[in-house]
Amino acid sequence: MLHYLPLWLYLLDFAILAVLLVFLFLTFGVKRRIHRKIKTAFERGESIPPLSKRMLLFYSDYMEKLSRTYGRNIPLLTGLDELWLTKFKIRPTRRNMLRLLKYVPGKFLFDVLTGVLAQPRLTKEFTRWIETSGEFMILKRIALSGNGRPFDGKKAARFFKDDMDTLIEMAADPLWQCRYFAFSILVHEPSSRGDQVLKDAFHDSHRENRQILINSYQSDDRTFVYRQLLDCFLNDPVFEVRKHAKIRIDREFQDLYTVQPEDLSPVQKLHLIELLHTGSSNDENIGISFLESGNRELELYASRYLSKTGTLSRLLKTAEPGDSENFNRSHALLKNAVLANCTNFLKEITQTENPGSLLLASRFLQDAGSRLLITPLLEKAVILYRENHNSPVIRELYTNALLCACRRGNDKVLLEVSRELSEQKYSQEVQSLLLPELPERGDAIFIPVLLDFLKDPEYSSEEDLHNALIRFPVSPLVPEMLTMIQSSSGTYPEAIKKRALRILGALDTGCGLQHILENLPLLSLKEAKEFTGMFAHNTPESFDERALLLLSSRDAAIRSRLIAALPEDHKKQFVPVLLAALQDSDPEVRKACVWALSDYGDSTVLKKCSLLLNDPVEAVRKETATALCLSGGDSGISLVEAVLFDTTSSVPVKKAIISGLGKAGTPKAFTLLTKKLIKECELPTELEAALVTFDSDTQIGMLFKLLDSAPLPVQPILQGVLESLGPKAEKEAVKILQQKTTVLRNHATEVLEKSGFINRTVRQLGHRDPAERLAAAQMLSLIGTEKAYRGLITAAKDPVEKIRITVIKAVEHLNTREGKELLEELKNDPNRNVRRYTLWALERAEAKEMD
Amino acid sequence: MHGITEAGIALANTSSPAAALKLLLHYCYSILKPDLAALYLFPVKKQSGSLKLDSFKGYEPEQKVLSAEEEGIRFILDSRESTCLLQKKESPFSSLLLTPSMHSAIAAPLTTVSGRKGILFLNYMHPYRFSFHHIEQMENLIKLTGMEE
Repeated sequence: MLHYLPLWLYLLDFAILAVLLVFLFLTFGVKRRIHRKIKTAFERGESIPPLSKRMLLFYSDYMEKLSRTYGRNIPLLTGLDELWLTKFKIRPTRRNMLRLLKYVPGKFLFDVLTGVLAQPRLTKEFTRWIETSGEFMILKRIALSGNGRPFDGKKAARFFKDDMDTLIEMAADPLWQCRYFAFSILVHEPSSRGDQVLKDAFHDSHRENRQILINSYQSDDRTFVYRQLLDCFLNDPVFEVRKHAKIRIDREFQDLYTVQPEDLSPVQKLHLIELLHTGSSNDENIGISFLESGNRELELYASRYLSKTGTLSRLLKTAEPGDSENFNRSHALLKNAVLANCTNFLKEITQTENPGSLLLASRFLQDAGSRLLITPLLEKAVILYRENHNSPVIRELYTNALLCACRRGNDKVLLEVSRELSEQKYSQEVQSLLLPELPERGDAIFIPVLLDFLKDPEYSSEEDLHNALIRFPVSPLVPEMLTMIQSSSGTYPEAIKKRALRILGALDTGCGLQHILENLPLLSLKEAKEFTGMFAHNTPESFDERALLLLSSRDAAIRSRLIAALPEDHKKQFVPVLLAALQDSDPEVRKACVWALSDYGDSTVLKKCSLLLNDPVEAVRKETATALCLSGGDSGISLVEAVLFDTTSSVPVKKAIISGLGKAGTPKAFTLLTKKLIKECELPTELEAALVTFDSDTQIGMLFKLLDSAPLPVQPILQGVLESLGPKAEKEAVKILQQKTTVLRNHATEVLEKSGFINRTVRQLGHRDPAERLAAAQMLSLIGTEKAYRGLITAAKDPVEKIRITVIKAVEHLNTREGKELLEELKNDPNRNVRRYTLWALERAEAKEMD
Repeated sequence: MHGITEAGIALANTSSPAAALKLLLHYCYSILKPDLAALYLFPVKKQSGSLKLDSFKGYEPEQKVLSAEEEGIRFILDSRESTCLLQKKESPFSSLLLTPSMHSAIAAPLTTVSGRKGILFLNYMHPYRFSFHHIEQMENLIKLTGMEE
């Protein structure tokens, strides 16, 4: 029969056989190789060389056989156990389960359990294994094997339904993994014993265990559960625990949830903020209340939350300065956010033209926030300012934006600033704002602009410009200044050259000295004195030599200015020169010498200076008197006094001294002048003119006192001085009147009358503001002269009761027929108090008639 | 003037406020010659409520206690002005007359820096019995005690 089969069948059989043989051969070969490797490793005491996973899995049975042969746990040693576990997890089978239980029970016991729970048909086998394994505390071993990994506690509860007692004991185990295992099962198994254990577990020391209870504990006592959850939410130190507690509260206990933020401790508030919802307006209000709590930590958390909800952005976008209360509140809130380093909301300014938003941002960007925002801020501020520079809001915005740019802006924005600086060249307000703020890092940008200002005779903010220029690096400026100073007349006016000279002097370069000294005549004597400070700060080495040379030069203007500019600590070597120069032909030189030598302070020198009190030139005499009084100390004063009271001194000399004393303005000068006035009353016009320069409250008060004690011929002069002092004397006069009992009262009222104060105050009785009118009425009543009372009567019909009463009192004092007529009218005043006062005044008036 | 001078000397030598008030009453009575002079004071450390009769000269006042809320009394205390009534008539100042037999009166508040002390009353049996000069003298005597009126 066989020879009837087709050839291909034979070939097929042969092929199959061949494949089988090859397979067997290969299998045998592989097995031999594996065996050899393992044997060699064991013989050498080495670890088994790695074998491929596929090989290990394919020859699992052979590996088990080798294990039995050698008595070693070859699956464990080769990692085959892990491969079995992987397979088991994918598809739990009895075979792999038994393998795992046999070879690595301790390691994968938990995994076996989870496999069994997923595949109930393995339950019996596993249960049998547990019963017959002889393993001690098997549940604990399972728990430790699991190491806190999650599992299906509900199914496990069914599986271990006969082991509840053991599990309850495990709930108190010192190892958290055991407690974890126990809790995971017990939460699904209601029993009174188990429940008590679970209740205590809310305070378990391990976070995972607490979380089991938070997520899964059930009880009929909802209040209890809620309280535990709330406690965990507010007080647990672990964020995850708090988060889970809050999630469950939100899901199941919203009806019970009532937390008053103000009742919470600071830490509880922090925990509360962390878990506020972004979509809840109630939570947003809580966030806002925390942002204005005054607690920096809370404000930080609140800022982050409100940043997430977009609240901060909204506050900025809707800021409206017209609603000052809300605006200020927004400002305060956003400021706290900025202080907590939450500044992201500021980027809203790129999307808005609202001046309120820009204003707030401009306040913050001066110190914080992204610098990139400064450019758009400034651009918008400038546009708004051009449109409406009278609005206080826009002005502040504009100012702040420029300050932001100067303090924190990049070069691009500094260019904008310099353009704006040029645009507002003649605005003193902008110049005095900006010039002090120009940053040195912008020297290349700003110096050309400032030089342009310097050369402009119309430019008026000189002082600010000067101070700004001297802050910048010296090198670009010195050549410019020298060029300006040395330019031929006509190129730059004298005033411009003077500016350049002052700057050159202040630049403190140590070079350019000769230029400075030779160009000092650009300055007045007083201005030249400023250089004293500059040279004192850093006197160049060559100064003395150059100065001596120039002091002996022919140019009087240079000599006089140079003398005025001599630094204090260098004067000593120049004293002989200065003393000689007291007799210089040029009065400017003599004036400068007097000042320089008075500063020096030596009494012999002062005495020589005092000879110039008799100088033929009046200006020299005046300056000498002023210098001796101001700088000569007690010695100087004594010298001046001696000449002033010397009967042989001529009138021009005395006049100059009096004028000089007035210019000195010191208390000693004042004393000398008043002494002259009281004692001799000579040159009253000059004395009066000099005394008018003394306008301090103390001195005016002394003038009043002198008025009271002065001889009659002197009183008109003092009156004249007080009249000339105007408002300051009026202020002092009112103070005197307020003292009520004072002998100076009459003098005070006289001053007020003559200065027009009473007339002005009477006019105030017509002011639209009742407070102003009342103040005027009370002032007139205080003055208490007939003129004041007459003026006061005009307010008899004022709607303010107090004013009418003040009028009644004035009328009572005046005691005139018109006054009585007025009182008769006021008897019918609608105000009861006014009527009472009127009756009071009428009685007194009637009593006066009986005198 | 002699009486005022004597009063001034006597008051200047007094250190006790209570004694000064007694002297004030005495000199007002002797110099200004009212039919009734009475001193009503607030209780110590109080400045409101009722004024009690402290001392008097001449006719005895009918009321030993005066309410500070009474219209005329209140006016004197609030305004700090001495007030007069030249004849008995319907007036907010009728309460200055301390007995029905009196027809004209002067009353002045007594105040120190620490507050209101009380009121000094002078009553006359006849209307128009005093002039403004009396009022000024009374005010001057009060000033001599160191009190403001």
